[in-house]
Amino acid sequence: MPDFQGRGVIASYSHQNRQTSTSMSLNRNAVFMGVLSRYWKMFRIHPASEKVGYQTDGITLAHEFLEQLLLKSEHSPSCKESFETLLLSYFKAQNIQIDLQTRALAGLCLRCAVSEPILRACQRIERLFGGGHSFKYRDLLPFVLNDDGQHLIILDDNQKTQFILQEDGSLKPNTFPFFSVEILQSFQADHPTKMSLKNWVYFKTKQHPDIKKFLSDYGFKKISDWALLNRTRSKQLEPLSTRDRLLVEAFHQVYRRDRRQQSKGAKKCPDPSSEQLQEILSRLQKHEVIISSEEQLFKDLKQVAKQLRQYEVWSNRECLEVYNKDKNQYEIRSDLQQEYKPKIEIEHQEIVEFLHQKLRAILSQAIQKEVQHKIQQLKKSRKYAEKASQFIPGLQLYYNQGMSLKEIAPVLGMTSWDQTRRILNPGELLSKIRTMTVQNLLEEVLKKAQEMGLTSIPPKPDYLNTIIQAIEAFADQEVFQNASEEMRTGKNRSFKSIYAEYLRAYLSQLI
Amino acid sequence: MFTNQNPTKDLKFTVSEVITLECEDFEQAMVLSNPIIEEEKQWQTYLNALALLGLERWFTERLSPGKIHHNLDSSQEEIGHFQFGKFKIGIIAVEHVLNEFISFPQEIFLKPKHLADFYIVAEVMEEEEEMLFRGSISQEKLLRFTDNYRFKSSEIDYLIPLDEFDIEPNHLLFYCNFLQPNIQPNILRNNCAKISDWFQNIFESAWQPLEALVSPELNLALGTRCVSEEISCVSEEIKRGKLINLGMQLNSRRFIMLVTVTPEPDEKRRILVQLHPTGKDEYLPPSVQLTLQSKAGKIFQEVTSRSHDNYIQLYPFKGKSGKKFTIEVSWNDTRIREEFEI
Repeated sequence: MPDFQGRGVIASYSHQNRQTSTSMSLNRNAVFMGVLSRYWKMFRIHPASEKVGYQTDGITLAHEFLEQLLLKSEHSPSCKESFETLLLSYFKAQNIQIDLQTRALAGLCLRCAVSEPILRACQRIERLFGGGHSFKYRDLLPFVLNDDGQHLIILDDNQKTQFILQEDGSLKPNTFPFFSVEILQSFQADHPTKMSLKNWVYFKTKQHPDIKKFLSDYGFKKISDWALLNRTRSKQLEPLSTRDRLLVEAFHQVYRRDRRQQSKGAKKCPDPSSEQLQEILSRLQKHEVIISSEEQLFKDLKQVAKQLRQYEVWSNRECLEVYNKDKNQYEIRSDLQQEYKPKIEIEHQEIVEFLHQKLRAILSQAIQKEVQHKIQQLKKSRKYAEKASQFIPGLQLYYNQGMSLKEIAPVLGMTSWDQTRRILNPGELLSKIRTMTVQNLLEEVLKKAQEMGLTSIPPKPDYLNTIIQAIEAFADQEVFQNASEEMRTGKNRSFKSIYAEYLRAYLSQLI
Repeated sequence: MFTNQNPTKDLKFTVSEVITLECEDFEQAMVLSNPIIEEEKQWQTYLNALALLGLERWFTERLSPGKIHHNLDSSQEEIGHFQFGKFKIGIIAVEHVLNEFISFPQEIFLKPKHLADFYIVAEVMEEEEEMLFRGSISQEKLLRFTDNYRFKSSEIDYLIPLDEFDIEPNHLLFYCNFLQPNIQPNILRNNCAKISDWFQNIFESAWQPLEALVSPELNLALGTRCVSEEISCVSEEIKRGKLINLGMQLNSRRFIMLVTVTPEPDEKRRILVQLHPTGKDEYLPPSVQLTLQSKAGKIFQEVTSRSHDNYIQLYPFKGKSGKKFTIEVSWNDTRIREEFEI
């Protein structure tokens, strides 16, 4: 790890302490360092990583600093808040007792700690947009995940400016301020709302001007103006002028009504017809909104739609607060980012072995059943029946040749990418096979657990919940994580997962 | 040096469950929303129906047959619902979740008996002809949340953070498959049709006069010969029909259940139940089954269509006012139950 290696101050700092540590405290240390890994592992942007766009690196200096801190203090990492508070108090210290080096190193640990929440915030934003968006969370990372972890940073006394602490101990302004540090700068641990640092990261990421601009530009890119107007509710109309609101309401009365009657399959909502525009005009007249012509109305509607493409119209901030009855006060939602609790372990080795034993047989059974089921379903379908025989060859082109659905369409004589996707739908097939695999594993494990006296049948909800999560995690780790990732890879993909292997094997039997 | 990430969580971060909607879904959603007059409610009904159709299919394709009891009429309620085994599943159809809150109308909490066992948030993307499964929440968790947080009294809706919802659709599937409902199962499968009310000229919205069902706009023509006979009916008779949808979407068929009631002496009523094809279909598909059952599910009568039946019917039966019965229509792997009170 190249970070800060060879800097005198750090080297002696850690060396000195290592000599004093006992084997007892080292053990304790090792455990705690695992728990505290978020303070010394940094998620950094890594555009070359095609799948995810980021990588995680251990930051040596942060790691060593934490070890020091643990040995020096009685801080138990189980008390996360106090540890975070300690680091924050060092980083934001304004008294001379805390030297610049310590401030910068505490800051480095905190920069690590906010890096994962920044990444998760971007992933979450992508997920929230659902369909209709034309961006990936990777596109958001350059705006916010811009900390390289290579420099020691401290804040000036006003907490306003970022300075780089250079090797010789001198300071120089950081000309490319890191977003991670900006988050820490603005975070007030003692603020009455008691927002956690993680929630603050999410909040700040969503509010980042470049992110907001990007989302306004690309968030609704695939949605037509008319569909966007259709989905507008009173909440989104609030920031608009009265006239614009009336425009949208009149549009709804006419366009939504007619939209329901339109035959589907044409995809995009068409431009409103002359008759529709006339009807909207006359409805508006009743509200004393006079627009000179259909053309003008058309332009005005387009203009309203443009306003509605602003991300802020859809994501309102007021809801960050909820009322807590016990404390009789409004407080920031605690749930903005739920913490991942890695508690899902199956304690019994016997069950773990059992899972491994069963997985492959259950997987190939599920593949067989779902492929057959899909073929039956296509055969029965009014729309796709004649294409049912293309399902197997289509999947083979996809999984054997690595062809995209777009490339497959002409080979199988299908009319469009969309038709091909609806017929082949490899993603849906994967999801169904995953469901069946997990469900069948679950059934087997519950039986086994009952035999072992671990549960009754039907099980208690909590027990079922734990088992479901454990089995899901197991199946995803062994099979579906890779299968799903390789599907999302762009060009030149090849399918190497166990899932693809099993599926190919089954398909070849059918030919 | 990778941290120990939960792969499942990562998987779901980037892959939302997409459910495709088909032309037939849109046609049906249109029919269901047509009777609604108020525009906003009409659009919502349309979305509710799409969400119900998509989700019912999603579940049907993943379950052993017969576990789902459709209830498309509920799309006209604020929150649509269907029955999954013993569980009632409520569907909240939205068009985006960008504000990260899901609103529940306050009034549903006033009648706890009517609460669903689980609620699903479905994001309907009308233009893309798809929908997303956004998450599910159990009644217990929902109530725990609403108990803990008081909402501003001015608010008409309860806003539940999206994070409270479980984003993995399989979980709901597994819960319903492996758990027993811990509350009394909801017996509200379909609203029970009260035939005594029919004589007061009060009809459930799903039960339409024949004229409405043969309207060319709806493209639902009953076999013409039979309709002309039916319409020239005896004055005391009441005839009402209901649109029945059966089968998985790619292969779904619509039928009309036609009920003719004639008053008899001693508060008795004579009831004739028929099942007709719709649209351009001249015949019913073979092996559609129509059964008359007691409230408890005991079968009294059944009839199955052959290859060229214009319609099928049960022998007319008589019952006293207040008595309950159930008519079940089943075809392939799906079934629908209609409950009646004479």
